[in-house]
Amino acid sequence: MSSSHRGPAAVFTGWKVFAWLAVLTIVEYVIAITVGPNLPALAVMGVVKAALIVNYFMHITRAWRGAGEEE
Amino acid sequence: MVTAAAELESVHYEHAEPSRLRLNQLGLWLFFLSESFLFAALLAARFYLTGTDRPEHLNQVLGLIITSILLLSSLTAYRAEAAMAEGDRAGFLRNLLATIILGAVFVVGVGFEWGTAEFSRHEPYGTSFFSMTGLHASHVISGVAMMMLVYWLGARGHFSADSYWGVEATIKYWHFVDVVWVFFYPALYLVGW
Repeated sequence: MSSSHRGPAAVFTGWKVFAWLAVLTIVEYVIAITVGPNLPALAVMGVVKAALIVNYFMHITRAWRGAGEEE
Repeated sequence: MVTAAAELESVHYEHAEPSRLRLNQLGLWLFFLSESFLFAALLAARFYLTGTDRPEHLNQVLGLIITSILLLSSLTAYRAEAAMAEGDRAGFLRNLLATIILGAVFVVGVGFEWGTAEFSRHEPYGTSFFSMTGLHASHVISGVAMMMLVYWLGARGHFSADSYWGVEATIKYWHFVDVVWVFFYPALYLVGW
């Protein structure tokens, strides 16, 4: 398994990604409720949120690496 | 001769383990890709059936709360995997239990939304809403069930810092369920006039 998923740095990364996800969700909600639903803006924010999860939480880059190989 | 054979066997297994893990990873990502097509079809159907319309009386607060719960569960799931990678079994179990509870709360929230929805499943929006949240909730329920199994195994000493593919795969599946909701939430609750 990759060492990038270990230690205090991993915990900090988790909180940082969660903070971004929370901020983007609140922005989505505020835009939709106050300004009015903006499909392109919501789509872009959705893609950014998905990319954050897929890259940092799901470690998509590991899909091409075996055990013990570093990211 | 025997020593040479044993050496060969040892070399064979040293290389087999990383290859198997790589294949497991690729297989899991292919599974996610095939699931994505299913969810994407439902997402497309929502806009095909109702355009950008949505009912006036949609419980926006509940939608935001269950979304926040699912996002928070992704953090606890991530921390559970990180703890197992460190060999911290107590931290792993604590964070996994939190994820299971948050997943269960999400399902209860969706159930409440189903029970109090002011639109019918016979309307185009209702068809989309119940199909999308229903299929997603079934994935959440299966994710919770898998995490309960992993918790049970972990509590009995299974998995270690060097071998935790079962944990990793289950948590990746949980994150995938979260990614799906990242697109379903705005499509169902926020898009529309």
